[in-house]
Amino acid sequence: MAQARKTKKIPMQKTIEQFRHRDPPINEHSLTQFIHSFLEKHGLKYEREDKWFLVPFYFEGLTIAIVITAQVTSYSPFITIRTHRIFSHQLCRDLIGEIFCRWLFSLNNVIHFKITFSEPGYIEFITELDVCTWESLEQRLLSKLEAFLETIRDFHPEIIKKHAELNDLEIN
Amino acid sequence: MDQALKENPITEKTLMEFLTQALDERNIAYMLDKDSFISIPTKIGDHVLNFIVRAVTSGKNPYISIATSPLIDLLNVDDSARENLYRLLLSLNSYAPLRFLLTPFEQVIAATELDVLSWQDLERRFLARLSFFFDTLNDLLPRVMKLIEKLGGKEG
Repeated sequence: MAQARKTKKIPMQKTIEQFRHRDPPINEHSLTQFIHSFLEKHGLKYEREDKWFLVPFYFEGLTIAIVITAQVTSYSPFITIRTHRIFSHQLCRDLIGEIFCRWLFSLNNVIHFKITFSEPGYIEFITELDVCTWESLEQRLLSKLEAFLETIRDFHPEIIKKHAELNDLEIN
Repeated sequence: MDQALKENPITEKTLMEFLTQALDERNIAYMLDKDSFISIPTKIGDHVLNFIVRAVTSGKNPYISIATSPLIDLLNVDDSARENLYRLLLSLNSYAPLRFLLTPFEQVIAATELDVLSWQDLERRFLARLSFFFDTLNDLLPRVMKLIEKLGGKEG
């Protein structure tokens, strides 16, 4: 017997424009929806895990995954953009530890960007975007993401090169 | 806030006027250095320091920079303690909205930046960032100082 096909009604994803005109309150949920809409609008591939969006970027034969999340604090909501497991803490081992840590720390002089040691043992690039209003948010996020990726593109090979140099010194 | 000011183009001059006006309206004490930066005296624990606020419009996108006066002088930290200090500061950099960084004079400072694409909500964003920066530093700085003390150095 033919069975009637059940259809599940899926709520329509809000578009960027709806955020601009309807002004929903800014909270973790609406900000997460905004990030979703942003990625869809700009044709960026992503994997979603609950509140995380894992977005792969490809440059010069390299794939770097970026995690974009909404974060709400008592001061202002934030969108956090960070790399996902690109370098292990193990790079800072043994004799090169102090020199390499100091060199990594010195890279924090670049604006809108910082280097951090994350809990699971990775060296990560990270930046944050405060969100007090939906106004210009798409443009601000795009601009932030572009600047962040440009910085990674510059620094990623630098980190590998510096580590190799220090390792050579250690061996010799 | 003066509405006429918000109709002006975003330049270093208009941004500085905007910032001083926002601080004046809240009676926040500050010093103005030849119109180029604002220095806000503050205290975190036993640490007397200044928040240095600048308007930067020279690059692609204008922004407001908030940085502390030097927190640690590395010349006062034992060589053996430095690696642990760098590791701690790098791990604390995961906290929004600040980052610790190294100046060319071997001093550690904390900084944050606020992008400025429009005047929209800028006053609220600036004041929220200033509070967030202060409170986060208030939480993190004692941990840094404790480590330096434990490792045998003295704070700058």
